[in-house]
Amino acid sequence: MGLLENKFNDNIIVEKLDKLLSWSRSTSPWFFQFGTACCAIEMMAAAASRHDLMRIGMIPRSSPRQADVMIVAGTVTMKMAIRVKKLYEQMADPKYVVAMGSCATSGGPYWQHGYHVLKGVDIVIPVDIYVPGCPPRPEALIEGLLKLQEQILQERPLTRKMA
Amino acid sequence: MTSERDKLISELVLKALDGDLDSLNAVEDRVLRAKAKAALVKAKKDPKAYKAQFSAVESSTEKSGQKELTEAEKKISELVLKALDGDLDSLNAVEDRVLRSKAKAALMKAKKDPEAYKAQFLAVESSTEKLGQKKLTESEKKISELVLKALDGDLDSLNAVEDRVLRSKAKAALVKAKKDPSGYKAQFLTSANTDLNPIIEAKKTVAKIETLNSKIKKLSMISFPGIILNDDDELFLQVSPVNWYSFAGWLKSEPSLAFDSLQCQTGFDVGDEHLEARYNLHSMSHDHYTEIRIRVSRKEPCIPSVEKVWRIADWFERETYDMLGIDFSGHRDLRRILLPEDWEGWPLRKDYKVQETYHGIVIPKMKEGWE
Repeated sequence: MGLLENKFNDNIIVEKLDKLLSWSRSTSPWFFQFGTACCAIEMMAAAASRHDLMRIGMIPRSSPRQADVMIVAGTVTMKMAIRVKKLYEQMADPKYVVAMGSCATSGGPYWQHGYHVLKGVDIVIPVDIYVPGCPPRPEALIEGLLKLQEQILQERPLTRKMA
Repeated sequence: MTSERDKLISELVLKALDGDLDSLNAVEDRVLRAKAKAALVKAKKDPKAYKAQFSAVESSTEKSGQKELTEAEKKISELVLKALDGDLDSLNAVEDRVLRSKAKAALMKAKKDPEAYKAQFLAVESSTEKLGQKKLTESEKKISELVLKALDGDLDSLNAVEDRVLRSKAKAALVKAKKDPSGYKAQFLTSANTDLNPIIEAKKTVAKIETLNSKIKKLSMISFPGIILNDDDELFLQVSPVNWYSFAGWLKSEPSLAFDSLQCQTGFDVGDEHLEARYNLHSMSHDHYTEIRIRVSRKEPCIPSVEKVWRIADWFERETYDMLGIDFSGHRDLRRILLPEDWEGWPLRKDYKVQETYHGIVIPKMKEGWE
């Protein structure tokens, strides 16, 4: 993709190709299978048969190299923060991050006194979607992921960005 | 006329319920017999209720007969009880043949399960005797209560007793009890009240641990004089860190203690100038517990590791080291267990200051305006 990306002026051909690409990306955002705390249980429930993330094209991948979306599910401690950052860096572009639960969005219950907790994962990596809740129900996570799909669909990967 | 007939029927039915069907069958009056049989069928559905209903209606002569019977039974039970205690002569000396033979038969039966028989018939004994016995046990109970109170420091309630005899007895018991207070406590807290009172149960446990702690102290005098720093009326043993490793090994190997399991090891910042490590020990074979506390100064927090004595202490001590910075000397792998290895400071100390940054990530100070 690197050869074509951001190379073309805005015209009809590019418009259609853009839509094709963003449509295909948005309908198969494979997510990275890892959890840091209790939110991971809800993430697993969302991926299991009752809520079935696969029907919106989301398949868990065990390697960051194969994943498009990182769902940060749970408390991120300082010890984990460097590892989360490293994992994010190992993911291939295009990559997206969903911060799931109040710990990952803001530090949650450790907001004030947790000396060892990162106050929101957006301190170390860029976040696209925030899902509040402690923990959020699978429905909430699914809504967050649908919002992410909408966002991906809006993207026009081939069009040259106006400076 | 009818009422007499009813009475007759009830008598027959009662007899039949007790196994004597012949007297019912021997009735010549057909109507009466049929009615009695019908009543019997009914009565058999709930014999107890029937008996209760009709034995009250029974004639007075029969009642007195029953009383005599119970008296004879009482006599029999007395004789049997005596015989069970070894006094056969009084049974043999009974002149009434019938009574004697009955008593012998009862004795044969009773010998199969003497305890149950005693328990059953001691309750039947004459009321005067019962009262006497009850008083005795109650006064004993009272004495033990007073002594227990006195041992806990409350002498006033003993002195306030008006009954002279009781007071002097209680004082004598107190003198005796003072020689071995924990033994006395253990004995009477078990015997005083058998019903499961939670307070008494807790006191029992306390007494058990106190006894064990004083035992450990006595035993340690030989090879570890002065290692236990506190008095034995507390529920833990304050131990000096100097000889702790060999003392721990001794606690595990001494057959009468045999503390084979370290259930928990944790640490405390006790404020002022000290840190404290606590060890909860349990013995599988003796089923007893104790707690060891070791206090060290904040400046040089060094305690010998017992990781080689109880292998579980490996991770326990690593956690205590991680949180409080107590240096367990002799530990073969003393690293932080929860926090990253390059973390600064000991978080569970009272004077802990959070570091400014960690690997370039700024650690925010306490946020304001949130609560």
